[in-house]
Amino acid sequence: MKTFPLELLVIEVLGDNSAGNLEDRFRRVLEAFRDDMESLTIEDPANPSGNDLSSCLTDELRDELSATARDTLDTVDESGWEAVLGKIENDAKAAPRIQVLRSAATAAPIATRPWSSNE
Amino acid sequence: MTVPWFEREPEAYAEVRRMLIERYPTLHARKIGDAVVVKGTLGISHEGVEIDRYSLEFRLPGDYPKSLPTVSETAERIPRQMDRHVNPATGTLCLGVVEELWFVMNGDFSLDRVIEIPVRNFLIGNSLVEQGQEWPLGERSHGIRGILEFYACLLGAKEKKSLHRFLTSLLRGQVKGHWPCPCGSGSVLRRCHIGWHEAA
Repeated sequence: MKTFPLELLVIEVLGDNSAGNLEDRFRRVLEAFRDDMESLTIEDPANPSGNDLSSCLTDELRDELSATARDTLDTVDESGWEAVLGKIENDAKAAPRIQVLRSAATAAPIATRPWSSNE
Repeated sequence: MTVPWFEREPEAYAEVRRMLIERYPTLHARKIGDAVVVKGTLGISHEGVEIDRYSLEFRLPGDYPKSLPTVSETAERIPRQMDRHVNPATGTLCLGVVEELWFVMNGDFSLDRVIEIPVRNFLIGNSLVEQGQEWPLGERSHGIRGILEFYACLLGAKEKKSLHRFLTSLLRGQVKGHWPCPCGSGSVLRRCHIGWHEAA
């Protein structure tokens, strides 16, 4: 999905109620996508009176967003945000990036090499 | 008309979904027509810490898990260039010589194995290439040369000529024990790599 319609959807959800901290607002967006995706509409802010952008949101895309939001909220409720967003790394203790990546590469249980099918 | 695998085996599809929710909660499976498409982001972790994250799309083949799924990077982070091992026309990642992947993965291209072996290796390698480094586990040459490199490596073959002869004959079922061994030892096949002869 293009990010512009997604941004407009978030604005639509939070437009009437932007209370709470970042987590509260993010959860509210996901809950709206999960529960009210069918009724959400978006408009081009440059032409709000005549340019309904809801056609960007096909039924397939609405289903996908709704299912993704539902799965994400289920995971957050069961295992917390780190299960979705990844573990927070402490920068002060972080090893240099190349060293970490090399270490991860050599830890591969089975080595595979990229290829290209075309000459 | 062929029935898609996820309708033939709904439990297998349910297992893919369960596996994603448990192990990769930011990847999501959906049925689109006759295909199953898995989209989202994949975190790459090492020693319990996420070291990178990629936006990906997997398309599971009709005979899943026998054939390799196609994998694309969807955030336009990796250039669509052959030298970056991305097919310029389709945007799919060239994870490896398919025969080699089939060999090292014992013919099992289940999604979790594909994620943990060739996709993980590819993405860590790409992260290093972005830092100006070489591919850490090496890379195969483009096209048929890469395929031959794999067979030469597998068979320990030093001479191109004997490798070609062995592979061509293998396809025809005509390998003879008295031929020079493709490993280049100078001995005949049946007295050197007898296993290849018997496998043929």
